[in-house]
Amino acid sequence: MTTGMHASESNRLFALMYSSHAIGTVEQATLDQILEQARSNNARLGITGILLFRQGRFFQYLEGPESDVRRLYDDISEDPRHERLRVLVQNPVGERRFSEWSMGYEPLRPAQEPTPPGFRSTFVDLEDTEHPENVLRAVTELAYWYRARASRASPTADA
Amino acid sequence: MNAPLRQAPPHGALIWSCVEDGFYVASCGNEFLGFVDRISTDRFQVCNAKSEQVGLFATLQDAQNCLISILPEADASAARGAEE
Repeated sequence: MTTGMHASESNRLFALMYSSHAIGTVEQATLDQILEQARSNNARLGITGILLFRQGRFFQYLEGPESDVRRLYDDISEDPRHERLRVLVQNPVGERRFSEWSMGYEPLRPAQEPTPPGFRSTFVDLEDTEHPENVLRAVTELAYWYRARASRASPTADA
Repeated sequence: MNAPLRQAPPHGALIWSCVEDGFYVASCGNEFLGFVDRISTDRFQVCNAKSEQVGLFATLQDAQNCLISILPEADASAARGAEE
């Protein structure tokens, strides 16, 4: 995928977020295994980001050198634990959103309540790729949510 | 069940989004304005754009009003416009 990419492009800071559908039931042990693997690989590659798991879906945000992020996404797309991958956003970025986390993880509360009247849903907007501004805003919302959660959580939010 | 808003918001409008049950983010355009986090059944924590706590309220509506009240005038005008 990096064929033909200039050196300056391959090294520029780049972000990619995708969604996918888990295959089968995902237990906490499986998530722990995925996170351990991701943190080990990402630390070596200089990639940071977060992983979310919600209602049988994975959402992962990756940021780092473009060639490494693209290569990692190619590897992730081959992982048999998920399917129907969909890139939600991919673009050069000026700075990292999750520089402290080689792969941060915070559990989401189960969605049991209706969205309050007049509110948007971050996860609906996140997949609204016809309106990139909605996707980017949703990523920002998740970044603030993640920081709020991680600041209250134990040091296990990341390795 | 209420359906979340789906249409693209008007330019410059105050936007409230629900990230997960009990966690609500306010923004205007590309600017993050703050968030409301339900920390117990009847306690809503309001945090400003720097994620600093600015108040605790018993209802979501009161927490939203608090956040709007501390916004700079331009953002507060957008918030008032969104409510009209």
